[in-house]
Amino acid sequence: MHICLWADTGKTFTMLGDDGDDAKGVIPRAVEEIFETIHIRESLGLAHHTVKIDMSEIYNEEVRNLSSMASNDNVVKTKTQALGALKEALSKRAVAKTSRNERSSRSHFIFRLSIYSYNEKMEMCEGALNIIDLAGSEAADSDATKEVQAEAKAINKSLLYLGTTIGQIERGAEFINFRNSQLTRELHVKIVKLILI
Amino acid sequence: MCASYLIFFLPLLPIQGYINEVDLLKNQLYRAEALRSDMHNQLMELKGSIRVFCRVRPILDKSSSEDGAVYCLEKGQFVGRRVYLETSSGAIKAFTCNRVFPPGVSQNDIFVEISGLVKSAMDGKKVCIFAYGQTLVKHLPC
Repeated sequence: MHICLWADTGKTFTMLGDDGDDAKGVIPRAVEEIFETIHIRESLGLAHHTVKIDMSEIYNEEVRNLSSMASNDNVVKTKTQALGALKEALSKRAVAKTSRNERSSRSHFIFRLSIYSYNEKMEMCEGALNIIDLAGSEAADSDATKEVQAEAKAINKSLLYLGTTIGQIERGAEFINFRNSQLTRELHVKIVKLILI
Repeated sequence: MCASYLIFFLPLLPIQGYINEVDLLKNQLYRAEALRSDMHNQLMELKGSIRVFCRVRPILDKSSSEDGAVYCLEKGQFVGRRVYLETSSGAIKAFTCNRVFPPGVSQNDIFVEISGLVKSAMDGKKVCIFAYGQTLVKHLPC
Protein backbone atom coordinates (compact mmCIF):
# COMPACT_ATOMS: atom_id res chain seq x y z
CA MET A 1 0.00 0.00 0.00
CA HIS A 2 1.45 3.33 -0.86
CA ILE A 3 0.85 6.37 1.22
CA CYS A 4 -1.03 9.14 -0.43
CA LEU A 5 1.32 12.03 0.06
CA TRP A 6 -1.25 14.52 -1.01
CA ALA A 7 -3.89 13.47 1.45
CA ASP A 8 -3.12 16.43 3.65
CA THR A 9 -3.52 20.06 2.79
CA GLY A 10 -0.15 20.92 4.28
CA LYS A 11 -1.04 22.52 7.61
CA THR A 12 1.60 20.66 9.53
CA PHE A 13 4.15 21.30 6.82
CA THR A 14 3.43 25.02 7.01
CA MET A 15 3.57 25.11 10.79
CA LEU A 16 6.42 22.72 11.55
CA GLY A 17 8.03 22.06 8.20
CA ASP A 18 10.72 19.55 7.44
CA ASP A 19 14.39 19.40 8.29
CA GLY A 20 16.65 21.80 6.46
CA ASP A 21 16.83 25.55 6.36
CA ASP A 22 14.45 26.10 3.47
CA ALA A 23 11.77 23.72 4.62
CA LYS A 24 11.51 24.96 8.20
CA GLY A 25 8.00 25.89 9.17
CA VAL A 26 6.49 28.82 11.00
CA ILE A 27 7.12 27.55 14.53
CA PRO A 28 10.91 27.03 14.29
CA ARG A 29 11.27 30.31 12.42
CA ALA A 30 9.24 32.17 15.03
CA VAL A 31 11.33 30.65 17.82
CA GLU A 32 14.53 31.73 16.08
CA GLU A 33 13.26 35.24 15.48
CA ILE A 34 12.20 35.60 19.10
CA PHE A 35 15.54 34.54 20.51
CA GLU A 36 17.40 36.74 18.02
CA THR A 37 15.30 39.75 18.99
CA ILE A 38 15.86 38.98 22.66
CA HIS A 39 19.59 38.84 22.07
CA ILE A 40 19.57 42.24 20.36
CA ARG A 41 17.36 43.84 22.99
CA GLU A 42 19.38 42.48 25.87
CA SER A 43 22.69 43.53 24.39
CA LEU A 44 21.27 47.04 23.94
CA GLY A 45 20.08 46.97 27.53
CA LEU A 46 16.49 47.59 26.46
CA ALA A 47 14.88 44.85 28.44
CA HIS A 48 15.39 41.56 30.19
CA HIS A 49 13.35 38.58 29.05
CA THR A 50 11.99 35.29 30.29
CA VAL A 51 10.47 32.87 27.81
CA LYS A 52 8.20 30.01 28.77
CA ILE A 53 7.15 27.29 26.42
CA ASP A 54 4.02 25.28 26.86
CA MET A 55 2.67 22.61 24.56
CA SER A 56 -0.45 20.53 24.72
CA GLU A 57 -2.70 18.56 22.46
CA ILE A 58 -6.40 17.95 22.46
CA TYR A 59 -7.31 14.47 21.41
CA ASN A 60 -10.91 13.32 21.58
CA GLU A 61 -11.80 16.32 23.75
CA GLU A 62 -9.08 15.43 26.23
CA VAL A 63 -6.28 17.84 27.00
CA ARG A 64 -2.82 16.31 27.28
CA ASN A 65 0.18 18.23 28.40
CA LEU A 66 3.14 17.57 26.14
CA SER A 67 5.79 19.68 27.79
CA SER A 68 7.51 17.46 30.28
CA MET A 69 10.31 19.69 31.39
CA ALA A 70 9.93 19.37 35.11
CA SER A 71 12.43 22.06 35.92
CA ASN A 72 11.90 25.80 36.07
CA ASP A 73 8.26 26.00 34.99
CA ASN A 74 9.07 25.34 31.34
CA VAL A 75 11.45 28.27 31.07
CA VAL A 76 13.63 28.05 27.98
CA LYS A 77 16.80 30.06 27.66
CA THR A 78 18.03 29.35 24.16
CA LYS A 79 16.62 28.58 20.77
CA THR A 80 18.19 25.11 20.88
CA GLN A 81 16.46 24.39 24.17
CA ALA A 82 13.12 25.54 22.77
CA LEU A 83 13.41 23.51 19.60
CA GLY A 84 14.49 20.46 21.60
CA ALA A 85 11.40 20.78 23.77
CA LEU A 86 9.28 21.07 20.63
CA LYS A 87 10.80 17.93 19.16
CA GLU A 88 10.21 16.02 22.37
CA ALA A 89 6.60 17.13 22.54
CA LEU A 90 5.95 16.17 18.93
CA SER A 91 7.19 12.65 19.51
CA LYS A 92 4.48 12.25 22.11
CA ARG A 93 1.64 13.33 19.89
CA ALA A 94 -1.07 10.91 19.04
CA VAL A 95 -0.88 10.12 15.38
CA ALA A 96 -3.10 7.27 14.31
CA LYS A 97 -1.84 5.49 11.26
CA THR A 98 -5.09 5.14 9.47
CA SER A 99 -5.70 4.21 5.90
CA ARG A 100 -5.60 7.90 5.15
CA ASN A 101 -2.32 9.52 5.82
CA GLU A 102 0.47 8.66 8.14
CA ARG A 103 1.18 12.28 8.90
CA SER A 104 -2.36 13.42 9.17
CA SER A 105 -2.60 14.62 12.70
CA ARG A 106 -5.48 13.38 14.70
CA SER A 107 -5.29 15.95 17.44
CA HIS A 108 -5.13 19.70 17.83
CA PHE A 109 -1.65 20.80 18.74
CA ILE A 110 -1.24 23.95 20.79
CA PHE A 111 2.16 25.59 20.96
CA ARG A 112 2.44 28.52 23.30
CA LEU A 113 5.36 30.82 23.94
CA SER A 114 4.92 33.31 26.76
CA ILE A 115 7.36 36.17 26.65
CA TYR A 116 7.83 38.20 29.81
CA SER A 117 9.95 41.28 29.36
CA TYR A 118 11.14 43.52 32.16
CA ASN A 119 12.40 47.01 31.43
CA GLU A 120 14.89 49.05 33.45
CA LYS A 121 12.27 50.02 36.01
CA MET A 122 11.37 46.32 36.33
CA GLU A 123 7.95 46.91 34.81
CA MET A 124 6.71 43.64 33.40
CA CYS A 125 5.11 43.21 30.02
CA GLU A 126 3.66 39.87 28.99
CA GLY A 127 3.20 38.81 25.41
CA ALA A 128 2.20 35.44 24.04
CA LEU A 129 2.46 33.67 20.75
CA ASN A 130 -0.01 30.83 20.35
CA ILE A 131 0.31 28.64 17.30
CA ILE A 132 -2.37 26.04 16.88
CA ASP A 133 -2.14 23.24 14.37
CA LEU A 134 -5.72 22.14 14.10
CA ALA A 135 -6.60 18.60 13.17
CA GLY A 136 -8.18 18.36 9.77
CA SER A 137 -11.91 18.19 9.53
CA GLU A 138 -13.01 15.27 7.50
CA ALA A 139 -15.89 13.56 5.88
CA ALA A 140 -17.11 10.46 7.71
CA ASP A 141 -15.80 7.35 6.06
CA SER A 142 -17.73 4.13 6.28
CA ASP A 143 -14.50 2.13 5.96
CA ALA A 144 -13.04 3.70 9.04
CA THR A 145 -13.06 1.91 12.37
CA LYS A 146 -15.25 3.07 15.24
CA GLU A 147 -12.26 4.61 16.93
CA VAL A 148 -11.36 6.69 13.93
CA GLN A 149 -14.96 7.74 13.47
CA ALA A 150 -15.07 8.91 17.07
CA GLU A 151 -11.88 10.88 16.49
CA ALA A 152 -13.37 12.51 13.43
CA LYS A 153 -16.50 13.39 15.37
CA ALA A 154 -14.55 15.04 18.17
CA ILE A 155 -12.40 16.96 15.68
CA ASN A 156 -15.31 18.24 13.64
CA LYS A 157 -17.24 19.22 16.73
CA SER A 158 -14.43 21.24 18.23
CA LEU A 159 -13.73 22.93 14.89
CA LEU A 160 -17.37 23.91 14.64
CA TYR A 161 -17.31 25.46 18.10
CA LEU A 162 -14.03 27.24 17.38
CA GLY A 163 -15.67 28.76 14.32
CA THR A 164 -18.66 29.86 16.37
CA THR A 165 -16.45 31.43 19.00
CA ILE A 166 -14.32 33.33 16.49
CA GLY A 167 -17.49 34.50 14.76
CA GLN A 168 -18.74 35.89 18.07
CA ILE A 169 -15.44 37.68 18.68
CA GLU A 170 -15.45 39.17 15.21
CA ARG A 171 -19.01 40.42 15.51
CA GLY A 172 -18.18 41.88 18.90
CA ALA A 173 -20.93 39.83 20.49
CA GLU A 174 -21.83 40.68 24.04
CA PHE A 175 -21.41 37.12 25.19
CA ILE A 176 -18.65 34.99 23.82
CA ASN A 177 -18.99 31.31 24.50
CA PHE A 178 -15.70 29.60 25.20
CA ARG A 179 -17.11 26.63 27.04
CA ASN A 180 -18.43 24.40 24.32
CA SER A 181 -15.26 22.44 23.69
CA GLN A 182 -11.88 21.83 25.26
CA LEU A 183 -10.19 23.68 22.43
CA THR A 184 -11.99 26.95 23.05
CA ARG A 185 -11.63 26.50 26.81
CA GLU A 186 -7.88 26.12 26.43
CA LEU A 187 -7.70 29.22 24.30
CA HIS A 188 -10.05 31.29 26.42
CA VAL A 189 -7.56 32.88 28.77
CA LYS A 190 -5.01 33.46 26.11
CA ILE A 191 -7.00 34.95 23.29
CA VAL A 192 -6.94 38.64 22.71
CA LYS A 193 -5.96 38.75 19.10
CA LEU A 194 -6.96 36.04 16.69
CA ILE A 195 -5.24 35.39 13.46
CA LEU A 196 -6.44 32.67 11.16
CA ILE A 197 -4.54 30.74 8.59
CA MET B 1 28.32 73.23 50.99
CA CYS B 2 31.19 74.47 48.95
CA ALA B 3 33.53 71.59 49.92
CA SER B 4 31.09 68.85 49.07
CA TYR B 5 30.38 70.50 45.78
CA LEU B 6 34.05 70.40 44.85
CA ILE B 7 34.56 66.78 45.90
CA PHE B 8 31.61 65.67 43.88
CA PHE B 9 32.24 67.70 40.81
CA LEU B 10 35.98 67.85 40.18
CA PRO B 11 37.02 64.17 40.00
CA LEU B 12 34.16 63.30 37.65
CA LEU B 13 34.71 66.18 35.33
CA PRO B 14 36.55 64.34 32.49
CA ILE B 15 34.12 61.45 32.19
CA GLN B 16 30.96 63.32 33.08
CA GLY B 17 30.54 64.32 29.46
CA TYR B 18 30.54 60.71 28.32
CA ILE B 19 28.13 59.64 31.02
CA ASN B 20 25.76 62.39 29.96
CA GLU B 21 26.06 61.31 26.38
CA VAL B 22 25.40 57.66 27.20
CA ASP B 23 22.30 58.67 29.17
CA LEU B 24 21.15 60.82 26.30
CA LEU B 25 21.62 58.02 23.78
CA LYS B 26 19.92 55.52 26.06
CA ASN B 27 16.95 57.83 26.36
CA GLN B 28 16.82 58.25 22.61
CA LEU B 29 16.94 54.46 22.19
CA TYR B 30 14.06 53.95 24.63
CA ARG B 31 12.03 56.58 22.86
CA ALA B 32 12.78 55.14 19.43
CA GLU B 33 11.85 51.65 20.65
CA ALA B 34 8.59 52.93 22.14
CA LEU B 35 7.81 54.70 18.88
CA ARG B 36 8.61 51.59 16.84
CA SER B 37 6.40 49.46 19.06
CA ASP B 38 3.58 51.96 18.75
CA MET B 39 3.85 52.22 14.96
CA HIS B 40 4.07 48.45 14.63
CA ASN B 41 0.94 48.08 16.71
CA GLN B 42 -0.91 50.59 14.53
CA LEU B 43 0.21 48.75 11.41
CA MET B 44 -1.08 45.45 12.78
CA GLU B 45 -4.40 47.04 13.69
CA LEU B 46 -4.75 48.50 10.22
CA LYS B 47 -4.01 45.13 8.68
CA GLY B 48 -6.86 43.75 10.75
CA SER B 49 -6.98 42.02 14.08
CA ILE B 50 -8.50 38.92 12.56
CA ARG B 51 -6.87 37.90 9.31
CA VAL B 52 -7.34 34.90 7.08
CA PHE B 53 -4.60 33.69 4.79
CA CYS B 54 -4.92 30.92 2.27
CA ARG B 55 -2.01 28.80 1.15
CA VAL B 56 -2.60 26.65 -1.91
CA ARG B 57 -0.75 23.39 -1.80
CA PRO B 58 0.86 22.31 -5.05
CA ILE B 59 -0.23 19.02 -6.56
CA LEU B 60 2.58 16.75 -5.51
CA ASP B 61 1.95 13.72 -7.66
CA LYS B 62 0.77 14.75 -11.10
CA SER B 63 0.36 11.22 -12.40
CA SER B 64 -2.48 10.34 -10.03
CA SER B 65 -5.86 11.95 -10.23
CA GLU B 66 -7.08 13.69 -7.15
CA ASP B 67 -10.53 12.28 -7.33
CA GLY B 68 -13.17 14.26 -5.55
CA ALA B 69 -10.81 17.06 -4.65
CA VAL B 70 -11.33 20.66 -5.52
CA TYR B 71 -8.94 22.31 -7.93
CA CYS B 72 -7.54 25.77 -7.73
CA LEU B 73 -7.74 27.49 -11.06
CA GLU B 74 -4.40 28.50 -12.40
CA LYS B 75 -4.67 31.51 -14.62
CA GLY B 76 -3.41 34.34 -12.49
CA GLN B 77 -6.23 34.22 -9.99
CA PHE B 78 -3.95 34.11 -7.03
CA VAL B 79 -3.20 37.78 -7.31
CA GLY B 80 -4.10 39.43 -4.07
CA ARG B 81 -7.06 38.24 -2.15
CA ARG B 82 -9.21 35.94 -4.20
CA VAL B 83 -8.90 32.25 -4.81
CA TYR B 84 -11.06 30.40 -7.33
CA LEU B 85 -11.88 26.77 -6.88
CA GLU B 86 -13.39 24.31 -9.29
CA THR B 87 -15.31 21.47 -7.75
CA SER B 88 -15.59 18.01 -9.28
CA SER B 89 -18.99 18.93 -10.71
CA GLY B 90 -17.42 21.81 -12.62
CA ALA B 91 -18.87 24.64 -10.54
CA ILE B 92 -16.52 27.54 -9.88
CA LYS B 93 -16.47 29.16 -6.50
CA ALA B 94 -14.60 32.27 -5.45
CA PHE B 95 -13.35 32.95 -1.93
CA THR B 96 -11.88 36.13 -0.58
CA CYS B 97 -9.37 36.33 2.23
CA ASN B 98 -6.64 38.71 3.35
CA ARG B 99 -3.95 37.14 1.26
CA VAL B 100 -3.58 34.11 -0.97
CA PHE B 101 -0.29 32.28 -1.22
CA PRO B 102 -0.02 30.45 -4.54
CA PRO B 103 1.54 26.96 -4.73
CA GLY B 104 5.04 28.23 -5.50
CA VAL B 105 5.65 30.23 -2.33
CA SER B 106 8.40 29.18 0.04
CA GLN B 107 8.18 28.57 3.75
CA ASN B 108 10.06 31.81 4.21
CA ASP B 109 7.47 33.81 2.26
CA ILE B 110 4.84 32.54 4.66
CA PHE B 111 6.93 33.43 7.65
CA VAL B 112 7.54 36.98 6.42
CA GLU B 113 3.79 37.56 6.66
CA ILE B 114 3.74 36.02 10.15
CA SER B 115 6.86 37.71 11.49
CA GLY B 116 4.98 40.94 12.14
CA LEU B 117 2.87 39.00 14.60
CA VAL B 118 5.95 37.56 16.27
CA LYS B 119 7.08 41.17 16.81
CA SER B 120 3.68 41.96 18.31
CA ALA B 121 4.08 39.07 20.74
CA MET B 122 7.45 40.46 21.74
CA ASP B 123 5.85 43.86 22.32
CA GLY B 124 3.47 42.34 24.83
CA LYS B 125 0.50 41.44 22.65
CA LYS B 126 -1.29 38.14 22.66
CA VAL B 127 -1.29 36.50 19.28
CA CYS B 128 -2.99 33.37 18.00
CA ILE B 129 -2.21 31.62 14.75
CA PHE B 130 -4.36 28.73 13.59
CA ALA B 131 -3.58 26.30 10.83
CA TYR B 132 -6.76 24.92 9.39
CA GLY B 133 -7.56 22.71 6.46
CA GLN B 134 -9.42 19.68 5.36
CA THR B 135 -7.88 16.25 5.72
CA LEU B 136 -9.03 15.35 2.31
CA VAL B 137 -11.84 13.41 0.92
CA LYS B 138 -13.27 9.96 1.10
CA HIS B 139 -11.88 8.08 -1.84
CA LEU B 140 -8.17 7.69 -1.81
CA PRO B 141 -6.68 5.26 -4.27
CA CYS B 142 -4.35 3.72 -1.75
